[in-house]
Amino acid sequence: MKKLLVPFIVAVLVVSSAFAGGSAEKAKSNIVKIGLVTAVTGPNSLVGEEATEGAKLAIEQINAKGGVNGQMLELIVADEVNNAEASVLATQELLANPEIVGIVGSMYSAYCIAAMPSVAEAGVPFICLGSSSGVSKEKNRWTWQDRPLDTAQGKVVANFVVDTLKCKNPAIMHSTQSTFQSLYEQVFAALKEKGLNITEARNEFGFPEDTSNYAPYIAQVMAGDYDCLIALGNQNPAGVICQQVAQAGLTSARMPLVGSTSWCSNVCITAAGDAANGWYSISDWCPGGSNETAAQFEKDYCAYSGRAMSDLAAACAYDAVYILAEAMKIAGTNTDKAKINEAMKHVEFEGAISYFKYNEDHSFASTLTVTQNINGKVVPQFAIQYR
Amino acid sequence: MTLSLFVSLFVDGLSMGMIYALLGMGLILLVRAVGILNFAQGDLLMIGAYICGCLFLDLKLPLWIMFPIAIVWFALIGIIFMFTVYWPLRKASYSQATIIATMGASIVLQEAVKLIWGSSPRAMPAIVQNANGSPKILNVGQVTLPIQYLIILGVGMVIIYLVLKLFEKLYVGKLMQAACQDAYAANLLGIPSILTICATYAIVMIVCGTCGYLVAPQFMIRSTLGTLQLRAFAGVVIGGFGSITGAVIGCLIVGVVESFSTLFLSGYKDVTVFLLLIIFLVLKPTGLFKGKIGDKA
Repeated sequence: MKKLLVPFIVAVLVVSSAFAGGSAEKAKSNIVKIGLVTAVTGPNSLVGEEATEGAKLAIEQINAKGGVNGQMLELIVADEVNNAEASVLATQELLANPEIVGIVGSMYSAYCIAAMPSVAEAGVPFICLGSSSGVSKEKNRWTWQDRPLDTAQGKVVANFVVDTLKCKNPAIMHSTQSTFQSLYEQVFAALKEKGLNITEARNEFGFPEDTSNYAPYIAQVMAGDYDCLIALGNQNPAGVICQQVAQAGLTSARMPLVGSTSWCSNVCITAAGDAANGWYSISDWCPGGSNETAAQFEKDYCAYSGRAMSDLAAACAYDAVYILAEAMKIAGTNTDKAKINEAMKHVEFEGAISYFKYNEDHSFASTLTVTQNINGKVVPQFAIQYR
Repeated sequence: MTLSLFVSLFVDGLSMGMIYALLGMGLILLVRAVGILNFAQGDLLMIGAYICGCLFLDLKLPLWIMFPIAIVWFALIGIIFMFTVYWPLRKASYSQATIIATMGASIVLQEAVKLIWGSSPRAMPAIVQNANGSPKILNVGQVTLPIQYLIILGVGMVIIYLVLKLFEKLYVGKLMQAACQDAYAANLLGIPSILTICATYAIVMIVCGTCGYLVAPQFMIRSTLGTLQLRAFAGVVIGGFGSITGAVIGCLIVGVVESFSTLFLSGYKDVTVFLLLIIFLVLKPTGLFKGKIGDKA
């Protein structure tokens, strides 16, 4: 009896492991992986948390509706910390995984640009969440952008400041980080085009990204004959600038205060509190949104993340996952990356941040919204269809 | 440049310089006590801001109760920091090991606060406010100055005075200095060096934590507050490494230069500070004041 027992156990083990392997293989074949490059650790981790939540929410919703081409989506996150080197390594880590069919890239254009040669070499569709026009200038056929480009934003800011607010001599405070340096250049050029007599020496106030003290710049704005303050920067500086502007006694009653997208962000409004009131924002994302998809996203995201409001990173990553899924559907394949990349040109749908339609510069968005912070709420003023 | 702008920039520079000075003074105290440069100095400031935020915003304690409790926490954290970052490595073959440990501690502290309090920055109300909760502003003619700046200057001067008094005049301070100069001889004379080192770390953390509370209304409570330490390092070198007076004066110079540099080189204010540092290193490498580290060597 004992002689028979050992071969019997071995046989049972072999058969069960074969079945287990088969079912694991089956489960594996039913999954399509999408990569996300974002900050998991380091000073930008809040942006990373939001982007991850946005991407995961999109994947959960897509999977709940049966997935893409019969397969379920899965998100793989790689940590870019807070520097271009780490971002490139994170992107390369995802590119090296043959199961990943598309990548949602960094929120920081400079990091995306640094990673783009690797993306082109590997041939994987890559949606950069940055807004710099420098990304599209690289003419990388695998790279796409789902946000309005800074070229558009610069013109919209200039039109709003000159035509709507009737300002003639704005002070422009901006982060010298590449994204906002580029946006500043677009705003400055557009203001000059509108005929304003401004100079970089007099109207520009650049600040290093890691600075905390904006008081010297604000003191100069208050001492000069400026009639408007334009501020361009990330979420964290936005809140601190609001706070220090209020502390210095500079209010929207004295001169209009206009910020970039971050000025209507959850982080800015929550952290700065009353100090954020009165600020306008020229925004590619407005919490609450300016269309039905955006309103639904806001509701779903707040329920999913437990946050009071959504933010740009969440909305961008959410839309980017939908763009990739849409391209896979159009291509009719979840594995052929070249076909999926080609299908990106035929993507067209109403996303959370904009109506998406292919443009020759590989960007999809076409709308910006002017908002104002009133009593701790972001109130959309009007949407601008810029193309 | 108008007089009002000059005064605004000068007071802003002095108040920032005072924060750097307090951080720099803490650096010198630690260098004197244990001979290591603490690269987590700015993060101790950040921890101080978070602790005050927790007591003030979450537990809603009034200032007069919050601050003594915060001081006790600061002292405890200083001692814990000493026993976890310095003490295990004090006899390492390479003295650089402890310095590397402080760099590691910096990262750990930044990630720890995010795990505990989340990544979002938190607003701290100004210490002196108007009836509507907005920060109080002092208007003198055309000059507009936030009261918070003046509080930073006042509290900073008091702390510097107290620390100088402790180390230069009081018997306890002299015991601490003796233990720092030669721990072996001090132990032979019955001065327990472990206690003096603990006390130094506790004092440094109290100073840094108080700085955190002072800057939080201006800069918010956030994990990146530690970056302020870079300017403190520059100020300490300019003042003369090892001298508390030198560190204070060097840091005040850095604050004022940084503030005025925004007039001409707005995007390059950090460059201006470090250019000043390079000029000092080339022309006067000993700094403005020769400190006690030099004497010890």
